[in-house]
Amino acid sequence: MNNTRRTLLRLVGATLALSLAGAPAFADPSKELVDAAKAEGQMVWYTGLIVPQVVRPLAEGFQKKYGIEVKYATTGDADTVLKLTSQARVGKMEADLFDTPGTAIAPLSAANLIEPYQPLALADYDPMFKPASKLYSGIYTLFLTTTYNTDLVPADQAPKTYEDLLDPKWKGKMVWTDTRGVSGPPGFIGNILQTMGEEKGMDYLRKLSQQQIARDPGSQRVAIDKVISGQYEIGVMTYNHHAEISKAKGAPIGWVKMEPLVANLGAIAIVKNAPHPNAAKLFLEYLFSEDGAQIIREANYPPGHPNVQAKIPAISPKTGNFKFTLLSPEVASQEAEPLKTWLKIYDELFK
Amino acid sequence: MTAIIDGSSQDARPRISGAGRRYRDPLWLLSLVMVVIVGCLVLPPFIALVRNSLFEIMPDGSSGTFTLENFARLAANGHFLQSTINSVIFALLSTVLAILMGGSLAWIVERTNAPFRDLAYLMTVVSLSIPGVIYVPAWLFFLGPTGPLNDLYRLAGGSGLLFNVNSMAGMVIIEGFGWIPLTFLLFAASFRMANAELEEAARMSGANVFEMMRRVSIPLAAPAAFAAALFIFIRSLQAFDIPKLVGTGAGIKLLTTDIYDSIRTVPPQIGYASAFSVALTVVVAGLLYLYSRLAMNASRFATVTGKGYKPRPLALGWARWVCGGIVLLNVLIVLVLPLLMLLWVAVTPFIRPVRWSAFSSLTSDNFALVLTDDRYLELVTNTLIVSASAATVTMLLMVICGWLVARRRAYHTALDQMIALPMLIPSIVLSVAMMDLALRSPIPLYSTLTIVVIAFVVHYLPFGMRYTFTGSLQLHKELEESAGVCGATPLGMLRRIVVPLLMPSIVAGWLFVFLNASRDLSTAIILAGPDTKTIAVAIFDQAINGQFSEVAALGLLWSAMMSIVAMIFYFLVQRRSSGGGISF
Repeated sequence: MNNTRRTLLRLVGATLALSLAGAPAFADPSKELVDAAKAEGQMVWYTGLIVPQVVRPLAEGFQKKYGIEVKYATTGDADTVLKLTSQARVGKMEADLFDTPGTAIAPLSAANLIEPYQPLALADYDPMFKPASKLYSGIYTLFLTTTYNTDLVPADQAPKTYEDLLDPKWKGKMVWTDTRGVSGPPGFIGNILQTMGEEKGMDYLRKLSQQQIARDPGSQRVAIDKVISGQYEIGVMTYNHHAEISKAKGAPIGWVKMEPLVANLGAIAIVKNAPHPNAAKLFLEYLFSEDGAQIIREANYPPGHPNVQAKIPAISPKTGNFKFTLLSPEVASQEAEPLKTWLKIYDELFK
Repeated sequence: MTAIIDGSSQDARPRISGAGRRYRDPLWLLSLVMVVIVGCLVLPPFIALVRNSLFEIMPDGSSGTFTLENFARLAANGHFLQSTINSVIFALLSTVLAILMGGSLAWIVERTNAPFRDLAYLMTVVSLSIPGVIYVPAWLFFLGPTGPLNDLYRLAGGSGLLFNVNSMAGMVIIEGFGWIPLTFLLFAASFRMANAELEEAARMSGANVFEMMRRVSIPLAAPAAFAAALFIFIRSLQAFDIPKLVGTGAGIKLLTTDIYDSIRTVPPQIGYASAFSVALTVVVAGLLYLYSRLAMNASRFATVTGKGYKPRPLALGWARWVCGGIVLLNVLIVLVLPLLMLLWVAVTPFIRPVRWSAFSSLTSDNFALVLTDDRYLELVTNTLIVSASAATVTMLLMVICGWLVARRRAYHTALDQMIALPMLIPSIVLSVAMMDLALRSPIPLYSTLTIVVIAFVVHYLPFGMRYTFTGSLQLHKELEESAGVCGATPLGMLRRIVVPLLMPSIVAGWLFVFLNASRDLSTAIILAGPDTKTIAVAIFDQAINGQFSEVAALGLLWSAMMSIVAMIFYFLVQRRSSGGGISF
């Protein structure tokens, strides 16, 4: 666990030390890659990203630029693992690329089903988007924090720090999801243990468990909707971009920079023995180019591209100016440490 | 009772002559063919289920060493006894609720002259087309702390909550209501064929309506009722989404609560879910055995005889308004409330309680988003092809099987038991088994619509069977025998006597499978490929990435479309079968 923590802290440190000097020049994909990809003519992408706003614009943009067709299938993370392992067992791979909120990387890497690749276009991205293992590339980071209903809680009374969540006045008025991953309570626990240290962290968590935080079985979106509708006053481990999107529509919701926030990485990877490996590689080059980053931006996700700012500046740590702990795909496996321990703490204290 | 219900004391079984065991059913070949077809469909996923429960699943998805760990984990469940009790209470109450509501509705609609009866079929069709992914949240919102029910209560001066949806009662209500359409269809098919003469005789002998119901109508419906009850009980015992989505807030643990988590883990821990299903199979096998014994006395329930059987509606007098009220209540509960709730969610820019002040912010953006997206044409076409094919194949097979089992022809036990199996196979296990099958098949099946159809056929076999089996029980054998006497071949007799008489059941079953297959998410997501996307894919995409208001808008438009398709189908069938007694 200590090892993991060091890795994490290193990643966090790297993120915070922004090293952007001058305008970066992006390498264009090599002619060989483009030719090889064009010879393959098409590629297949298993995706959990939103189709109308992200998947289709990217597929259309890529086809326009290179004349290569992108076929896509919407799958959940668990389905992706089931499909790829089944295909591999029979030796009939269908997919070239898959994306995941992080959880699918560890099991698929254990099954030896990921082809390591690091797109050239990632050259000037922050290191957290391009792990040394090259097993995946980060598409964007999403940030989880505390939100509150602005009709029920005046901004100056909203909790600002993790200690504030222990205030008895929030007892029974907070909600988080029952997600058994780093984007749910276990991620919160990991963040606390890493920030406060083992002993102080556990002490804090024990106190927090007395606050009777409601566990909602739905997604983070469902949890924040329950804060918006007034069923709860405070949402814990909810996404700041969800809050901003709803706020723009007039919803009574605000979010606080409860530092460090928890960051999740949306990752994409190439399948081992993919039928169209070159088209997949070229697609990644396109995805991480400025054109691709613009599409990510338009979908309200904060892109990692150094030249493309988030559409809502506040949700990105660069423009929104906040500290965070990255819980990367390496720690997102439910069957390995450290998440296993965090899940155990969650089950013991909060269920 | 035999004498009351059926004047003749005939046995429905093929007559076994003095030769005893030597007797060979003339339809043995047909039976054998059905056994083989059903076996090929049902056994591979069932074998996969047993294998998953007994062998470790390796990272690459293959089977590892033998293990009993999944069963040990099941038994080691800290609150095993309490969970079992909770599960049984939940399943039992949900079943009772569904049977009471759906059964009484069916009787009113089919046998009386109560007003508003036509609404019941409309209700059923529309409600069966609402995807579960929006139906359950609609109820959660309606009954929830900020929903209209508790809002009204506070408006009336109450404080706190009138009803806490996160409770056993909330779970039972949402699960039970969800089963009303199926119960209604099963009971309606059976009441429609029941011989009204018996009820009329009871009335003429001086019984009042309630006595008649108690001594004639209810006993007549007994086999259908028992079949439907057992079916819903088993399905509710296995349900894990409503216990999880509704029960989590209350901390109520059911046997399936952990399974929800385990199959949502990445990678899904199918072994645990499989072990539960295997254990349940053993328990249910006992119940099914009891149930199958019912068919032994099949002719007691045969009410469609060679005599004219046009049932006449019962004139109720003042009570018809009470019954009309019950119809309206069902329509309100099953359809109007959830639909209004969803409509509210779909036209508000963000989720908020129902308030006058919110009306000014209503928007059609969410609908516009769906209607301006051109990718839906492909999704809709694929979905209609898949659902219609699945429904047709299922009902074709089940007409023959339902009749063979009801008549206890050769191999009927094997047939009956195999058809019941898919009921116990969790859909994720079924999908994975089908995926494996498709990948290994010499004919390219993977990522085709065909494999999705096959998976749906397997999944809905038991549902189709409930319609055709119950229907066949009510056909008296004398009709088939007279066809035989007139020289019809067995197949000709099936085609010209059994199928036409069973038409109401067949059509009801077809619609049920068609509508359910079209809104099924999990199977279609795993089995659909990049070129074979169905509407499930779009709904799933919205559900994991979008806001609920967008999902609600898409779901509502989808339900509207499917309802219209179902209505058109219904009118076409009704027109073709001039006066054949089909009112569905």
